[in-house]
Amino acid sequence: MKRRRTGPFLLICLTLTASLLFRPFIAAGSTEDEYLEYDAWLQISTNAVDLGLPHSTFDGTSDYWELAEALVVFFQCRRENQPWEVQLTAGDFYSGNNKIRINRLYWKTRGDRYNRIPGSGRARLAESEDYSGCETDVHLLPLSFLVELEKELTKVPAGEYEAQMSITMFFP
Amino acid sequence: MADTLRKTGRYFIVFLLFSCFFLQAAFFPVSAADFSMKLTVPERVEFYLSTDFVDLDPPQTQNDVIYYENKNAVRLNIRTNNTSGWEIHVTGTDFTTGGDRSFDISRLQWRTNDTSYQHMPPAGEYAMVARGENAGNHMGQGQGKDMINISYYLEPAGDEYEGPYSAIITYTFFVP
Repeated sequence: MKRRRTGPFLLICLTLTASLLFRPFIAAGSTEDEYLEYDAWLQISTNAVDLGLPHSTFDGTSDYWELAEALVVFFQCRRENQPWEVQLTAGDFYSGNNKIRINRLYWKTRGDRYNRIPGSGRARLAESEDYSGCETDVHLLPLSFLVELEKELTKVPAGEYEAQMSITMFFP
Repeated sequence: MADTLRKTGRYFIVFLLFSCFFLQAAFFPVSAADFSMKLTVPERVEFYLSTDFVDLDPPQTQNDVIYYENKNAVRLNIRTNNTSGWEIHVTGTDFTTGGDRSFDISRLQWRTNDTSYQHMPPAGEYAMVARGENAGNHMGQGQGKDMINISYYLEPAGDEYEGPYSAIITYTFFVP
Protein backbone atom coordinates (compact mmCIF):
# COMPACT_ATOMS: atom_id res chain seq x y z
CA MET A 1 0.00 0.00 0.00
CA LYS A 2 2.79 2.37 1.00
CA ARG A 3 4.61 1.77 -2.28
CA ARG A 4 1.49 2.52 -4.31
CA ARG A 5 1.15 5.95 -2.64
CA THR A 6 4.76 6.98 -2.96
CA GLY A 7 4.94 5.80 -6.59
CA PRO A 8 3.23 8.86 -8.13
CA PHE A 9 5.35 11.20 -6.03
CA LEU A 10 8.51 9.47 -7.16
CA LEU A 11 7.33 9.67 -10.78
CA ILE A 12 6.65 13.42 -10.52
CA CYS A 13 9.94 13.91 -8.75
CA LEU A 14 11.83 12.01 -11.45
CA THR A 15 10.04 13.90 -14.23
CA LEU A 16 10.85 17.27 -12.71
CA THR A 17 14.43 16.28 -12.03
CA ALA A 18 14.82 15.08 -15.61
CA SER A 19 13.30 18.29 -16.96
CA LEU A 20 15.62 20.26 -14.68
CA LEU A 21 18.61 18.37 -16.01
CA PHE A 22 17.66 18.54 -19.68
CA ARG A 23 16.03 21.97 -19.83
CA PRO A 24 19.25 23.82 -20.69
CA PHE A 25 19.70 21.58 -23.71
CA ILE A 26 16.08 22.06 -24.77
CA ALA A 27 16.44 25.82 -24.33
CA ALA A 28 19.59 25.92 -26.45
CA GLY A 29 17.66 24.66 -29.48
CA SER A 30 14.42 26.42 -28.71
CA THR A 31 12.53 28.57 -31.17
CA GLU A 32 10.69 30.40 -28.40
CA ASP A 33 11.61 32.97 -25.86
CA GLU A 34 9.36 34.17 -23.05
CA TYR A 35 9.73 37.26 -20.91
CA LEU A 36 7.13 36.82 -18.22
CA GLU A 37 8.26 39.86 -16.28
CA TYR A 38 7.58 42.07 -19.32
CA ASP A 39 4.50 40.19 -20.52
CA ALA A 40 6.30 39.54 -23.79
CA TRP A 41 7.20 36.59 -25.95
CA LEU A 42 9.05 35.85 -29.14
CA GLN A 43 9.03 32.90 -31.50
CA ILE A 44 10.89 32.11 -34.71
CA SER A 45 9.53 30.03 -37.57
CA THR A 46 12.47 27.66 -37.91
CA ASN A 47 15.65 26.63 -36.16
CA ALA A 48 17.64 26.02 -39.36
CA VAL A 49 18.27 28.34 -42.28
CA ASP A 50 20.12 26.84 -45.23
CA LEU A 51 21.40 29.39 -47.73
CA GLY A 52 22.57 26.60 -50.02
CA LEU A 53 24.93 27.24 -52.90
CA PRO A 54 26.21 30.65 -54.06
CA HIS A 55 25.15 32.75 -57.01
CA SER A 56 27.56 34.90 -59.00
CA THR A 57 27.02 38.59 -59.49
CA PHE A 58 26.36 39.81 -63.03
CA ASP A 59 29.94 41.03 -63.46
CA GLY A 60 31.32 37.88 -61.90
CA THR A 61 33.37 39.78 -59.35
CA SER A 62 31.68 38.33 -56.30
CA ASP A 63 29.59 35.46 -55.07
CA TYR A 64 26.60 35.63 -52.82
CA TRP A 65 24.17 33.40 -51.01
CA GLU A 66 20.65 34.68 -50.53
CA LEU A 67 17.44 33.32 -49.08
CA ALA A 68 14.43 35.60 -49.14
CA GLU A 69 12.20 35.51 -46.06
CA ALA A 70 14.17 32.61 -44.70
CA LEU A 71 12.86 33.10 -41.20
CA VAL A 72 9.87 34.84 -39.62
CA VAL A 73 10.02 36.29 -36.13
CA PHE A 74 6.70 36.52 -34.27
CA PHE A 75 6.71 38.64 -31.17
CA GLN A 76 4.51 40.62 -28.83
CA CYS A 77 4.97 42.83 -25.81
CA ARG A 78 1.63 43.42 -24.14
CA ARG A 79 2.92 45.89 -21.58
CA GLU A 80 2.08 49.47 -22.58
CA ASN A 81 4.92 52.00 -22.90
CA GLN A 82 7.51 49.30 -22.34
CA PRO A 83 10.52 49.98 -24.54
CA TRP A 84 11.94 46.87 -26.20
CA GLU A 85 14.22 45.79 -28.98
CA VAL A 86 14.43 42.59 -30.99
CA GLN A 87 18.08 41.71 -31.41
CA LEU A 88 19.96 39.22 -33.50
CA THR A 89 23.17 37.80 -32.07
CA ALA A 90 25.32 35.77 -34.41
CA GLY A 91 28.68 34.06 -34.38
CA ASP A 92 31.04 33.60 -37.31
CA PHE A 93 30.45 30.85 -39.86
CA TYR A 94 32.69 27.85 -39.29
CA SER A 95 33.59 24.74 -41.22
CA GLY A 96 36.19 22.97 -39.17
CA ASN A 97 39.01 25.45 -38.70
CA ASN A 98 37.91 27.60 -41.64
CA LYS A 99 35.89 30.70 -40.94
CA ILE A 100 33.73 33.26 -42.72
CA ARG A 101 33.33 36.39 -40.65
CA ILE A 102 29.81 37.27 -39.62
CA ASN A 103 30.16 40.78 -41.02
CA ARG A 104 29.74 39.21 -44.46
CA LEU A 105 26.10 38.58 -43.53
CA TYR A 106 23.34 41.04 -44.40
CA TRP A 107 19.73 40.99 -43.26
CA LYS A 108 16.58 42.80 -44.27
CA THR A 109 12.90 42.83 -43.61
CA ARG A 110 10.26 42.92 -46.31
CA GLY A 111 10.54 46.05 -48.46
CA ASP A 112 13.75 47.28 -46.82
CA ARG A 113 17.34 47.41 -47.94
CA TYR A 114 19.95 44.98 -46.71
CA ASN A 115 21.78 45.92 -43.52
CA ARG A 116 25.19 44.56 -42.75
CA ILE A 117 25.70 42.69 -39.50
CA PRO A 118 28.50 44.45 -37.62
CA GLY A 119 31.64 42.57 -36.64
CA SER A 120 30.28 42.19 -33.12
CA GLY A 121 27.58 39.95 -34.57
CA ARG A 122 24.81 41.92 -32.89
CA ALA A 123 22.08 43.72 -34.82
CA ARG A 124 18.86 45.45 -33.84
CA LEU A 125 16.06 44.02 -35.95
CA ALA A 126 13.13 45.98 -34.52
CA GLU A 127 12.32 48.36 -31.69
CA SER A 128 9.24 49.48 -29.81
CA GLU A 129 9.32 52.99 -31.31
CA ASP A 130 8.30 51.51 -34.65
CA TYR A 131 5.38 49.62 -33.12
CA SER A 132 3.97 52.01 -30.50
CA GLY A 133 0.31 51.60 -29.69
CA CYS A 134 0.24 48.07 -31.07
CA GLU A 135 0.49 46.17 -27.81
CA THR A 136 -2.43 43.93 -28.67
CA ASP A 137 -0.92 42.89 -31.99
CA VAL A 138 1.33 39.93 -32.66
CA HIS A 139 4.08 41.33 -34.86
CA LEU A 140 5.66 39.51 -37.77
CA LEU A 141 9.18 40.19 -38.96
CA PRO A 142 10.07 38.24 -42.11
CA LEU A 143 13.85 38.17 -42.43
CA SER A 144 15.85 37.72 -45.61
CA PHE A 145 19.54 36.92 -45.44
CA LEU A 146 22.42 37.47 -47.81
CA VAL A 147 26.07 36.53 -47.49
CA GLU A 148 28.44 38.19 -49.91
CA LEU A 149 32.06 37.30 -50.50
CA GLU A 150 33.40 40.00 -52.74
CA LYS A 151 36.44 38.63 -54.58
CA GLU A 152 36.89 36.36 -51.61
CA LEU A 153 35.38 33.04 -52.49
CA THR A 154 38.67 31.74 -53.73
CA LYS A 155 40.16 32.43 -50.31
CA VAL A 156 37.51 30.37 -48.58
CA PRO A 157 38.08 26.63 -48.79
CA ALA A 158 35.16 24.50 -49.92
CA GLY A 159 32.89 23.11 -47.25
CA GLU A 160 29.63 23.49 -45.38
CA TYR A 161 29.79 26.50 -43.07
CA GLU A 162 27.50 26.98 -40.10
CA ALA A 163 26.85 29.86 -37.73
CA GLN A 164 24.82 29.80 -34.53
CA MET A 165 22.39 32.66 -34.06
CA SER A 166 19.91 33.83 -31.46
CA ILE A 167 17.02 36.23 -31.62
CA THR A 168 16.01 37.80 -28.34
CA MET A 169 13.87 40.61 -27.02
CA PHE A 170 15.87 43.10 -25.08
CA PHE A 171 14.29 45.50 -22.61
CA PRO A 172 16.50 48.54 -22.11
CA MET B 1 1.75 9.71 15.50
CA ALA B 2 2.74 7.56 12.55
CA ASP B 3 0.03 9.21 10.47
CA THR B 4 1.35 12.66 11.37
CA LEU B 5 4.89 11.65 10.35
CA ARG B 6 3.63 10.24 7.05
CA LYS B 7 1.75 13.48 6.34
CA THR B 8 4.83 15.55 7.21
CA GLY B 9 6.86 13.36 4.82
CA ARG B 10 4.38 13.99 2.04
CA TYR B 11 4.42 17.74 2.67
CA PHE B 12 8.20 17.58 2.55
CA ILE B 13 8.10 15.82 -0.82
CA VAL B 14 5.61 18.39 -2.16
CA PHE B 15 7.89 21.14 -0.86
CA LEU B 16 10.86 19.51 -2.61
CA LEU B 17 8.94 19.29 -5.87
CA PHE B 18 7.98 22.96 -5.73
CA SER B 19 11.57 23.81 -4.89
CA CYS B 20 12.64 21.90 -7.98
CA PHE B 21 10.13 23.80 -10.09
CA PHE B 22 11.22 27.21 -8.79
CA LEU B 23 14.89 26.34 -9.16
CA GLN B 24 14.23 25.37 -12.74
CA ALA B 25 12.35 28.60 -13.47
CA ALA B 26 14.93 30.74 -11.72
CA PHE B 27 18.15 29.28 -13.03
CA PHE B 28 17.30 27.74 -16.39
CA PRO B 29 14.91 30.07 -18.19
CA VAL B 30 14.46 29.60 -21.96
CA SER B 31 17.27 31.95 -22.87
CA ALA B 32 16.69 32.72 -26.53
CA ALA B 33 15.16 31.65 -29.78
CA ASP B 34 18.07 29.92 -31.46
CA PHE B 35 18.70 28.90 -35.01
CA SER B 36 21.60 27.82 -37.15
CA MET B 37 22.47 29.22 -40.55
CA LYS B 38 24.27 27.09 -43.10
CA LEU B 39 25.84 27.85 -46.43
CA THR B 40 27.81 25.69 -48.79
CA VAL B 41 31.05 26.88 -50.35
CA PRO B 42 31.58 24.74 -53.42
CA GLU B 43 34.97 23.77 -54.72
CA ARG B 44 35.75 26.47 -57.21
CA VAL B 45 38.07 26.08 -60.16
CA GLU B 46 37.86 28.72 -62.85
CA PHE B 47 40.46 28.93 -65.55
CA TYR B 48 40.15 30.95 -68.70
CA LEU B 49 42.34 32.68 -71.27
CA SER B 50 42.13 36.34 -72.21
CA THR B 51 42.11 35.48 -75.90
CA ASP B 52 41.87 32.48 -78.17
CA PHE B 53 44.03 33.95 -80.91
CA VAL B 54 47.59 35.27 -80.84
CA ASP B 55 49.25 36.84 -83.87
CA LEU B 56 53.05 36.93 -83.78
CA ASP B 57 53.27 39.13 -86.88
CA PRO B 58 54.97 41.28 -87.93
CA PRO B 59 58.52 39.94 -87.81
CA GLN B 60 61.14 42.12 -86.13
CA THR B 61 64.85 42.45 -86.63
CA GLN B 62 67.63 42.99 -84.12
CA ASN B 63 71.34 42.49 -84.83
CA ASP B 64 70.42 40.90 -88.14
CA VAL B 65 68.29 38.35 -86.33
CA ILE B 66 64.71 38.05 -87.50
CA TYR B 67 62.26 37.11 -84.82
CA TYR B 68 58.61 37.26 -83.90
CA GLU B 69 57.55 38.34 -80.46
CA ASN B 70 54.29 39.13 -78.77
CA LYS B 71 54.72 40.23 -75.18
CA ASN B 72 51.91 39.48 -72.72
CA ALA B 73 49.98 37.93 -75.57
CA VAL B 74 47.76 35.74 -73.41
CA ARG B 75 46.61 36.17 -69.87
CA LEU B 76 45.77 33.03 -67.93
CA ASN B 77 43.08 33.81 -65.37
CA ILE B 78 42.92 31.48 -62.41
CA ARG B 79 40.36 31.41 -59.66
CA THR B 80 40.32 28.55 -57.21
CA ASN B 81 39.70 27.77 -53.58
CA ASN B 82 41.45 24.46 -53.90
CA THR B 83 43.65 23.85 -50.89
CA SER B 84 45.58 20.87 -52.05
CA GLY B 85 47.60 22.33 -54.91
CA TRP B 86 47.26 22.68 -58.63
CA GLU B 87 49.37 22.91 -61.77
CA ILE B 88 49.03 24.56 -65.16
CA HIS B 89 50.56 22.67 -68.05
CA VAL B 90 51.08 23.74 -71.64
CA THR B 91 51.29 21.70 -74.78
CA GLY B 92 51.13 22.58 -78.46
CA THR B 93 50.83 21.13 -81.93
CA ASP B 94 53.49 21.79 -84.57
CA PHE B 95 53.15 24.92 -86.66
CA THR B 96 51.48 24.10 -89.96
CA THR B 97 50.16 25.94 -92.97
CA GLY B 98 47.23 23.59 -93.12
CA GLY B 99 48.88 21.66 -95.92
CA ASP B 100 52.04 19.59 -95.71
CA ARG B 101 54.31 22.42 -94.56
CA SER B 102 55.14 22.47 -90.88
CA PHE B 103 57.84 23.02 -88.29
CA ASP B 104 58.27 21.97 -84.70
CA ILE B 105 56.36 23.78 -81.98
CA SER B 106 59.51 23.57 -79.85
CA ARG B 107 60.95 26.43 -81.90
CA LEU B 108 58.43 28.65 -80.16
CA GLN B 109 59.55 30.06 -76.81
CA TRP B 110 57.35 31.30 -74.00
CA ARG B 111 57.77 32.98 -70.67
CA THR B 112 55.61 34.17 -67.78
CA ASN B 113 55.76 37.61 -66.19
CA ASP B 114 58.97 37.10 -64.32
CA THR B 115 60.77 34.22 -66.00
CA SER B 116 63.05 33.97 -69.01
CA TYR B 117 62.08 32.42 -72.32
CA GLN B 118 62.04 28.66 -72.59
CA HIS B 119 61.21 26.43 -75.51
CA MET B 120 57.83 24.80 -75.86
CA PRO B 121 57.88 21.04 -75.33
CA PRO B 122 57.68 18.91 -78.49
CA ALA B 123 54.18 18.20 -79.76
CA GLY B 124 52.40 15.76 -77.47
CA GLU B 125 54.50 16.63 -74.44
CA TYR B 126 53.70 18.96 -71.57
CA ALA B 127 55.62 21.66 -69.74
CA MET B 128 54.60 23.11 -66.41
CA VAL B 129 53.72 26.81 -66.50
CA ALA B 130 52.81 27.39 -62.85
CA ARG B 131 51.85 25.53 -59.75
CA GLY B 132 50.04 26.28 -56.54
CA GLU B 133 50.82 24.65 -53.25
CA ASN B 134 48.88 24.29 -50.03
CA ALA B 135 47.37 27.32 -48.30
CA GLY B 136 47.89 30.98 -49.03
CA ASN B 137 45.91 33.46 -50.99
CA HIS B 138 47.94 34.33 -54.00
CA MET B 139 49.35 32.90 -57.14
CA GLY B 140 51.91 30.22 -56.66
CA GLN B 141 50.66 29.34 -53.22
CA GLY B 142 47.39 27.59 -53.82
CA GLN B 143 44.13 29.43 -53.27
CA GLY B 144 43.23 32.73 -54.81
CA LYS B 145 42.47 34.59 -57.95
CA ASP B 146 45.34 35.56 -60.10
CA MET B 147 46.57 35.93 -63.61
CA ILE B 148 49.68 34.95 -65.48
CA ASN B 149 50.76 36.83 -68.57
CA ILE B 150 52.40 34.72 -71.22
CA SER B 151 54.77 36.16 -73.85
CA TYR B 152 55.86 34.32 -76.97
CA TYR B 153 59.04 34.50 -78.98
CA LEU B 154 59.83 32.71 -82.22
CA GLU B 155 63.13 32.80 -84.03
CA PRO B 156 62.84 31.05 -87.40
CA ALA B 157 65.60 28.59 -88.20
CA GLY B 158 65.55 29.71 -91.83
CA ASP B 159 64.43 26.40 -93.27
CA GLU B 160 60.73 27.18 -93.04
CA TYR B 161 58.74 27.43 -96.22
CA GLU B 162 56.86 30.62 -96.86
CA GLY B 163 53.28 30.79 -95.70
CA PRO B 164 50.93 31.56 -92.81
CA TYR B 165 51.62 29.07 -90.04
CA SER B 166 49.46 28.35 -87.08
CA ALA B 167 49.60 26.06 -84.09
CA ILE B 168 47.19 25.15 -81.35
CA ILE B 169 48.50 25.75 -77.86
CA THR B 170 46.60 24.20 -74.99
CA TYR B 171 46.83 25.20 -71.32
CA THR B 172 45.47 22.70 -68.85
CA PHE B 173 44.67 23.37 -65.22
CA PHE B 174 45.24 20.28 -63.13
CA VAL B 175 43.78 19.81 -59.69
CA PRO B 176 44.19 16.66 -57.63
